[in-house]
Amino acid sequence: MPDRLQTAREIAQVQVRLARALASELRAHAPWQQAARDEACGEAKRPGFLRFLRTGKARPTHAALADQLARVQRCASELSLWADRAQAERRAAVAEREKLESEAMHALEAAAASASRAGEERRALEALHAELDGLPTRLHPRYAALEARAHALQQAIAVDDLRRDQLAESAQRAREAAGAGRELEQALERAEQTLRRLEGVAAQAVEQVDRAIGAHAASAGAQGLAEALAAAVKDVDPDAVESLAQETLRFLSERPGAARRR
Amino acid sequence: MILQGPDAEAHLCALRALLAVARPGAQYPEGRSLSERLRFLPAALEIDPRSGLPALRALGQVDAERALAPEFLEKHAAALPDRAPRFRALLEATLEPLHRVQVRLIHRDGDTSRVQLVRDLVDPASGCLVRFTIVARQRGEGQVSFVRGDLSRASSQLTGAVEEAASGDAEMALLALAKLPGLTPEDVVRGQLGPLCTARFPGPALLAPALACAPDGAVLHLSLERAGTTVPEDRCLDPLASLYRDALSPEARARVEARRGQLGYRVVKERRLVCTPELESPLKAALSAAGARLVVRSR
Repeated sequence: MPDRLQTAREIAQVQVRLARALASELRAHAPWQQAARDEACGEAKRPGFLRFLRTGKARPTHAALADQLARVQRCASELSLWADRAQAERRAAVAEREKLESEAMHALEAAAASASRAGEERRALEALHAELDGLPTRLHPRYAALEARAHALQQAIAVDDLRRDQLAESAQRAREAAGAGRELEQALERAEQTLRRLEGVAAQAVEQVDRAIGAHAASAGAQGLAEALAAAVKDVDPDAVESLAQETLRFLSERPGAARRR
Repeated sequence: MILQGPDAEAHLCALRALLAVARPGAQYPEGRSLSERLRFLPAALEIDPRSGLPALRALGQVDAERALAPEFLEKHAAALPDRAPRFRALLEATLEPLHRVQVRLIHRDGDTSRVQLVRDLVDPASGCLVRFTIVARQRGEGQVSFVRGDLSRASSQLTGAVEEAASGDAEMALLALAKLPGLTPEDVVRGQLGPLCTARFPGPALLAPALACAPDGAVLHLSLERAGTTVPEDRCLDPLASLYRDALSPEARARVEARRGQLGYRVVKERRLVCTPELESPLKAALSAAGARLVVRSR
């Protein structure tokens, strides 16, 4: 569990880093916006997206776009990898929690069986005591044997009581750990959903940039690409990702203390 | 276009086999590196319909995953063990970058130097893999500087100019680079791998009759253009291409011819075809019928 907590903490930190990286990559659409502004001003009447950026010292469009495509693809791949990792950790956490719940259930069943056995033993002891009380004197030939049986039964009842307490404690611990595991699963699920959402945004950006590379020879709109990337930045919303991650980190920071207390 | 399952596998097999037969030389993009890259393409294979080759996005995805391989093996290999072999193989693969500009010093004599510039790219206009090899004479160190006497470093202006020049043919690149101060391009070679023509991606109409005879066949084009001062005469030996100047208006052509006179270069274009064995005879027959003289090889 502590390893998984550490991983969940790392995943939460990574999702913030990747959201910022993706947003920054999508904001690198300034050249296309400049080209779009020029287009709107009628400054560049020449056809072709490619020519917009040929006027200044900027790199040629296709080279800049190819580099941007590589960077966004890397970002998308990293997001996908961490989303898969979060999913794998969540599945492992589910298996671990189910094992703990099963352990708790077995302990409770064993405690219940022990309680029922103790009831029978107490009834047997009461019967023995009644029998002992019914004898006229302690010197009666059956008294010593009955007393020895009552003593052994008393000892067995004490051992069972101890065992039952231990089982109940162990079931309680397993239930608490399973509860913490459930919260961890929820944190991992949230992280996975966020990473998948960001992965989707990155994949769309890859699509847009790829389309722009393929269409540069025709007068494909710089405006279109600039708008698509700007909209994608809004979809990434790194601040929202950070607040989600902070929530997860706060939850995780409380867990190791609880684990140590146990 | 997306190819799935056996179609994708057959397409990649054909391309790998043709690359092995073609053995493209140093003036073309790295054939072995491309072949290696094909191993890592996803099962749903995106093909650029213009070139019949895997699309830039699919080829670039391999680089993106390779960049992540060290991190994967360090952090995720235990949690995602089924993917570890792929990332390990990616890390060990010899993959050359799809896009790059390299510069190398050939010779240096006082203030004058001769440098070689290599630009690799996936041509955005055709989807084919292209390598430009430029040999240029430089006066001073305005474009390429030499650290410790021999370590060449291109200025960002030169890198940008090479990237821009490499978006057309060899002659256009030579004309564009000749505008740079202190740099005189002597020789520009443009080597192109692709298109890959199959029945599904038939390419130029010239090949259609041959592909109709052998629908499972495939043809890989290797085209080479050279513009340079040592080229003996202008020759277009490629029936699928024309000289840049031939497409210009009379006024523009006159200006280019004047510039050509100053620079003293000539242009040659050629193409060879590498095909699967069953296609060799029909392809030769189709080319012969069309009066096109091209080298065709299948082994």
